[in-house]
Amino acid sequence: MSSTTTDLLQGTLDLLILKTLSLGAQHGWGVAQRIQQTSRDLLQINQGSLYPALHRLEEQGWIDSEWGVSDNNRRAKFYRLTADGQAQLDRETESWRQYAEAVRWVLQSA
Amino acid sequence: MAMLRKATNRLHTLADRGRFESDLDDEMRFHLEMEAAKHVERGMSLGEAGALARREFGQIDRFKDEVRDARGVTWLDDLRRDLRFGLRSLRRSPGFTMVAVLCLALGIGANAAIFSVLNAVLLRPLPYAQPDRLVRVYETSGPRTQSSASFADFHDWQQQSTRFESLAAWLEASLTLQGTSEPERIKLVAGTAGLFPLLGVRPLIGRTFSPEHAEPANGQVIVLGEKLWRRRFGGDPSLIGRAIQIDGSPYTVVGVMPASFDFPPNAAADAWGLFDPSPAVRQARGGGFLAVVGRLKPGVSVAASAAELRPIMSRLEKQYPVQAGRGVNVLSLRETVVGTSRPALLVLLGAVGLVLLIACANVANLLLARAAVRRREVAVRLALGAGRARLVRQFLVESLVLALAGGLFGALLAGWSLWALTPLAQSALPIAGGIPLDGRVFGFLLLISALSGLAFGIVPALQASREDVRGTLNDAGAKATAGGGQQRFRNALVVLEIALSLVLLVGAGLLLRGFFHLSGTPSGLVAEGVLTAHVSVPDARIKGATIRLFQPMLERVRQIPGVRSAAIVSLLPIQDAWTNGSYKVEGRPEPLPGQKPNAELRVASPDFFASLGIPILYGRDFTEGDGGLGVRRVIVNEALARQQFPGENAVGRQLRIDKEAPHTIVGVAGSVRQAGLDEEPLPEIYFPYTQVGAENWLGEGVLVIRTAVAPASATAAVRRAVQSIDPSLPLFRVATMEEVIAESLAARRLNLWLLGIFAAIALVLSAAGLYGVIAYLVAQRKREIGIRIALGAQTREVVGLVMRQGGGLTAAGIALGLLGALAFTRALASLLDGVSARDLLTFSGVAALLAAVALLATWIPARRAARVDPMLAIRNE
Repeated sequence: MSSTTTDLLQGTLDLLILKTLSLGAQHGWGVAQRIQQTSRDLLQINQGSLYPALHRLEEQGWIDSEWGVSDNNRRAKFYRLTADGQAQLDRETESWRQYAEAVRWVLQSA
Repeated sequence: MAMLRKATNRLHTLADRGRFESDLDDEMRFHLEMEAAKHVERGMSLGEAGALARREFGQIDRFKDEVRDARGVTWLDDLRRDLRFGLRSLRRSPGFTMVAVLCLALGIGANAAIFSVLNAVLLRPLPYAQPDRLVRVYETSGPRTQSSASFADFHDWQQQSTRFESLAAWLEASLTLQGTSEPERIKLVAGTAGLFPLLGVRPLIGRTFSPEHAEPANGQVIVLGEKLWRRRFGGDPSLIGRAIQIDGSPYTVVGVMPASFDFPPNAAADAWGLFDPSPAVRQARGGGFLAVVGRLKPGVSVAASAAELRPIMSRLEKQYPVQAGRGVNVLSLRETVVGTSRPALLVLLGAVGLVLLIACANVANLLLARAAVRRREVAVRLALGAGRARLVRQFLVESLVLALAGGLFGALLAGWSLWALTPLAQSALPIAGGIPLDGRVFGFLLLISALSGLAFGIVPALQASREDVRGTLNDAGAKATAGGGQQRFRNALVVLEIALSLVLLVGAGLLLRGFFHLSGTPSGLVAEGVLTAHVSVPDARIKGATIRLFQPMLERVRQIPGVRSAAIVSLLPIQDAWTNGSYKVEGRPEPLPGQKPNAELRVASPDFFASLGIPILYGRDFTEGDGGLGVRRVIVNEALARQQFPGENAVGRQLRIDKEAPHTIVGVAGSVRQAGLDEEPLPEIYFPYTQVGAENWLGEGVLVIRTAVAPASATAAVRRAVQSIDPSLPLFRVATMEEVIAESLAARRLNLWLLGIFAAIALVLSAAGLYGVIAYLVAQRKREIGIRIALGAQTREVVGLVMRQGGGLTAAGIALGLLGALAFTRALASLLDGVSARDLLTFSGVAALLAAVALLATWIPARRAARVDPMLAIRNE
């Protein structure tokens, strides 16, 4: 009866959101579309779980939000990456890279 | 920085919850609409697209909850829910709630009130600059350790000591303030020029005296207290520089002191004047009438200052033989203010602690019992998936609500008891002004109660979450005891409560006996039907006052219908401080210096002894003719006669007082306990008021009037009679003799009341605690009892079964309590008059009382147990 994402997946989701927003401010739905596109539908998540993640990231100060108008003239909440968020993104990206490297290394050694 | 932003964000969210919720809703709805639009673009119908979008989104409400969690608003929702749940469950068991709140209220409230009184007396700082450096300097003479000083000695201390920053002296006088309104008695404190600078308090307006400021050569100056200034002069600032009439002389007002200032402490002085001693007073040695205050230099201890003054006094002793035997004693000013009441206050402090302990034990007991009853409920909820932390938090909130409710009622109770106790306290303790409820103390007590409540409130939740849920849900589980350990603990609590109550009750009982013993002590006079009233004649008019004023006054008073006899005396027994002097028996060898016998000296008119019901044992009373030229007659009391002339008749013997011609004893009167009912009678010498010079002692005389009717009803007539002789003489401190005696017992009465109240509270709490435990035990054994009844057990047997359990606890409690009482009452010894701290009657009486109450508290649930319907009991609940 706990939340859908485990801790590991939660961290991953956060990273994906930060990365997506690093490419430009976006509203929640836009972020979801982007993640689906760039992961080529490999990462299937309940779309709803995006929102707790977004709010959590905003609480931590890595992203900022602002109400604006969408492309189709609807009222939408836009999120953008903050300076702290950018720094966090860089840190996380680096540690992911190291992790992937280590796994590849382990898998390669017979 | 990030934390700050986080905090402000949270606050915003909490502050505008509605906006937050609607925004969240909008955000998610936008998402769903966009998603649905995407599907519609791909060719789906609107309905299908919406459904698909919702399905892919997932449970909206769940995610909303997660968002709320992430935003930190859930805790508020949870709290609100816990609060509502807690209140509801408390409402559902009103008996428990009321008793628990009452216990807490008693413990917190009554104790907060007492602590406030203690704070007002013991802890409130004195209203002077750096009061910790202020000391009182007394002279000692024989057994008296706090005697007044002579001006000459004071002056020498000033000149010769180095450890004092400054010294000042004062005396108090009651004078009559005259003017356009009715004449009024005021209390004037006349001090040396250095007094105000020593105290270091600034006046409200105007100025005070100081050695630098030369006062005008003519007339006297005065500094008023704010209360008098506002009451009598309407707070008029132009009064500064003007003169007011006191005892026929003009006093120029130079300043007003703020209402928060009072010197000496708690004296309720109305005004302060300058003390200008005459040359005779400046030189007099061998004891005086001045009180001395000093400010120690920084870093000098009280002991060090005394050590410096002692050799000075020794030198003076050698220089002036009349100073023989006089020493010096230094006490901190605070000590002199608090000293006499400290033992009683400390005892009360102990009592306060005990009651608080009992109250907390009771609350703990109640909570544990309730927890045991709710085990089933807890088990069910755990089985349904409630989080353990959630459960614990909920119980915590419930306990907190209980503690706060107790605190609220406690505050009300504290406020009310302070209001009720203040007049009683003021008559007995050195407190001027009201007693505020000390917020710190109240907060502290609330904290303790809350903590104990919390501690015992979460125990059930913690315990239940750990044990076997299934076991509890079984039928059999309902019968299982809530852990033998917990039951033993609760039993121990009750035993402790009973023991503590016993201690308090014994203390109160002993005080009560002591009080009755004291008030039953024969005072030596007959107090019923006697009216007393003080009359003062200013110094300027005291010469010839006996003939001019007192004789006609008494004559008038005697003519009032209902008056049996009237007299005047210089000091009223039991009420007033004493004036003593030394004397010598004529015809005996000269006693060594410092060993001259002392006696109280009084001046009285004829009929004084008859008016107060003091018997004349030998010889006769004074007559009006006992004061002619060359006539020197005195009356002594039985204590003196016994001391100086044991076995002989003192009448006809002669005494020499000071250097005058010898006085002849013409009568021996019965002894009166002048210094108070708890002291032995002191030797006394009475002079007739017609004797040359005697009237000087009647500057503030007391009329003593024996009436056939109720004494208070004669007051108006007496006042008229006095004012018909001289309208400028006010009558004050009018009281019946019975009231005077009662007032002397006031301090003891206060202690008695307070301790008695505490003991009663303790008794009630313990009885309630015992009742609760026994009732719980009965509930536990309902099944067993039902079976027994079904098998034919009589009511008597069942009752006996239950009461045996209660009896065991009670006996243990009483035994423990007796031990404790033996230790505690030793501390009371100084407050008991004539009653042993181990008085058998009190101890056994209290034990019996407690046993009887405990019996009742056990009997009620026992009776109920016997009426249990066996069928219902055997069946499952």
